[in-house]
Amino acid sequence: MIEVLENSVDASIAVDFKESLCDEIDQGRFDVVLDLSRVDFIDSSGMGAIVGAFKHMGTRGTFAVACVTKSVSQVFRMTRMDKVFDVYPTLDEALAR
Amino acid sequence: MSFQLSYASTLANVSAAVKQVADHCRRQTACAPGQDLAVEQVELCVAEALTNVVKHAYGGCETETFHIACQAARGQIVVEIIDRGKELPQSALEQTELQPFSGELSDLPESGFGWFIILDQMDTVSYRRESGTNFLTLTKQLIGAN
Repeated sequence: MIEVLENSVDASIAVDFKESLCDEIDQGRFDVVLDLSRVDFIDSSGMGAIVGAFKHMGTRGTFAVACVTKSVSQVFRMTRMDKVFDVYPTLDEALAR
Repeated sequence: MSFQLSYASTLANVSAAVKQVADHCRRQTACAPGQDLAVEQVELCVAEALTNVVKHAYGGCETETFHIACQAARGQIVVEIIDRGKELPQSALEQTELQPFSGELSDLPESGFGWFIILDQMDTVSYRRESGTNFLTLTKQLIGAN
């Protein structure tokens, strides 16, 4: 489980955010659940960073998202990424999958 | 009530400007029921529009300036963004549909959602260019406002 500590995942941090996630994957984290419970804002750049990390995981492992707030889940839905990612309402459900 | 601010064209200042807009709109709407969603939509669209100014209109140059004005009154939120960067391509204002996804992981888009989000979430989007200056106006109606 990777807990995202930032309240806002936007263009100003998207590049570093994606790199951090990719580094975690390259260090052997092949079963990722991204805990977004602290994130109350994400824009398309932040979404792009998560997508980039998901693509970087590829077939090496699994990548899910948990605890999205209402506004964040809106962005997933608008970009149709809710059809791409496994999005779980709670961390327990994500970890139990 | 309205405000006008100017910022150097950095992504960090995009975050700051977005926060100013969101805080202003929340104060003006007093977070009335049904209006918090409109404020969130404005917040997102302003982030998308300003990111486009910094990355594309100004090509990442951090020594330029963007201006933002926001008014939340008379049942609507109106945001105007002004910059002196490159002209907005007409294609941006025509992105009313997302590109279809092929299903291949490598084809998953990591960018290019911004204008679709703006056009989808705002009630009106208007753009004009005058004397080398871009003027983008976003309007969102407030449900249940007097």
